[in-house]
Amino acid sequence: MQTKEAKLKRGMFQNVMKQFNAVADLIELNESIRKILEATNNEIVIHFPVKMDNGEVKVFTGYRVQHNNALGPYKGGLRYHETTDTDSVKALAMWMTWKTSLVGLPFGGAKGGIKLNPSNYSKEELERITRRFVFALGDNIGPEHDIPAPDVNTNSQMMAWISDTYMSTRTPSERSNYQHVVTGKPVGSGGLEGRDRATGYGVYLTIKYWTKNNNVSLKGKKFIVQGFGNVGYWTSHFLEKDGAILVGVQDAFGSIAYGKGIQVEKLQEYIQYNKGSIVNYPNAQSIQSDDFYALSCDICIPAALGNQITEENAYKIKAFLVAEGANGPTSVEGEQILLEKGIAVIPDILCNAGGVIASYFEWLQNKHGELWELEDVLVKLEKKLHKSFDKVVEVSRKRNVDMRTAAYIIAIERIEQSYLQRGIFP
Amino acid sequence: MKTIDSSLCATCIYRKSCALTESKRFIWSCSEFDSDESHRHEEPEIKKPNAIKKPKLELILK
Repeated sequence: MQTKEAKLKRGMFQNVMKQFNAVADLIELNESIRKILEATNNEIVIHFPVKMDNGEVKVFTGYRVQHNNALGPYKGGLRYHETTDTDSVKALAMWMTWKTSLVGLPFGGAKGGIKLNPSNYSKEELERITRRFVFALGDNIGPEHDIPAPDVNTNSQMMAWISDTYMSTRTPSERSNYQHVVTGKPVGSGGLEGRDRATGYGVYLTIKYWTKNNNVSLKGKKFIVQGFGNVGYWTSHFLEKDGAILVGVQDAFGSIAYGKGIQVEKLQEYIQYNKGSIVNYPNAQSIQSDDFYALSCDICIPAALGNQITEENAYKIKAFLVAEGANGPTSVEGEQILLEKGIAVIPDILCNAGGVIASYFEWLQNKHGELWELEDVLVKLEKKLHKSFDKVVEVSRKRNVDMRTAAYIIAIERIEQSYLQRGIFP
Repeated sequence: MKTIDSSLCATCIYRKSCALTESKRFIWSCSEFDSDESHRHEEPEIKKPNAIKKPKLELILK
């Protein structure tokens, strides 16, 4: 029997590969295409110098892994973290390929970043590091080739620097043709209205579609959410507006619960003056962290981090639906227990795809020289996600598989079809 | 491929007291991740708004 540590060590890459191989076997994926998808197209490592505030020069290491571009330009985030390396972003790049394919975007998958701890550098240094990295990447990124986005420790300001640097390396007359080299920019610099709520809105929508498909009303349904960051807050916001009741929240500081309902906006307001923490919120009771997933509820939304629902706590879950707002929150063993208990799981690549769909809209908006309004963004997002959700349900029923397997089948078959139609050069 | 044995938690300011997970290894993304020391606060500051009265709590653990 595997130890807990050994299972954790399997890590994200092994999980992604395991899921890929299982689906590849199931659909009898073309062997040549299987070989292509098992590998990453490009793994770029760049060492680049940057002058620090004190005049010293430091050499940084940046990475960009481009997994596959069969369906369109590579797409994926850039993270600034000390643990960034080629291996750590490989799995994330591959995962982006499946996600963009599943929701029908004309994008492939990529991921990258710089090995550094941004809190060790001034804003001016971070700007120079970002700009120099973009310059060093050169034509390895581009609006029709590889489009980065924010990720861990990177934000809209950094995306604006990336966009400006890339545009500044083109001739003045064609400068504005390149704004869509990056997404997640500030609204005033080509960013999309509503990008902040897109992922959470998407999580809410997939829950809404699921309940509608199963003739369940959201009104009065109790839900718990792990993580009250951007995704957790906006998901709760939209669910509450639709009549659902938030009864439990967990963040990095602690866990709170109140069976009669925690008002989302009041909690958010409280967090603002409590330095980001839900702890001691007066209209709820503090509970032990271990008891969080045992709370009585109808919908459980892990929206913080991976490996949260495992064989050790899956049996405690009382909800009839788990909606994966975070990436990889349910382990393979945990999901098996949930499914055996009859608990449905909306898989992460579908549930939290609202963010990458919004990125696609920003890319389109810039490409066409338009400025989209918030209402239009939300309507388009709903249409795109609804279509993807229905397709997953259809494949799930037709092939008698769970929703995660169905999602992977759709994603991989779409890429397979693309290769089969155009062949392999030469 | 070598096993990925690093984690975002390594530089997270909440790693010592984080209520989300006991295992701080192999975390690739987290909504609560923050590495900016200026955001740290050891004890959450309690400022209960006067307008909000503490309700009678209903335990929902089964």
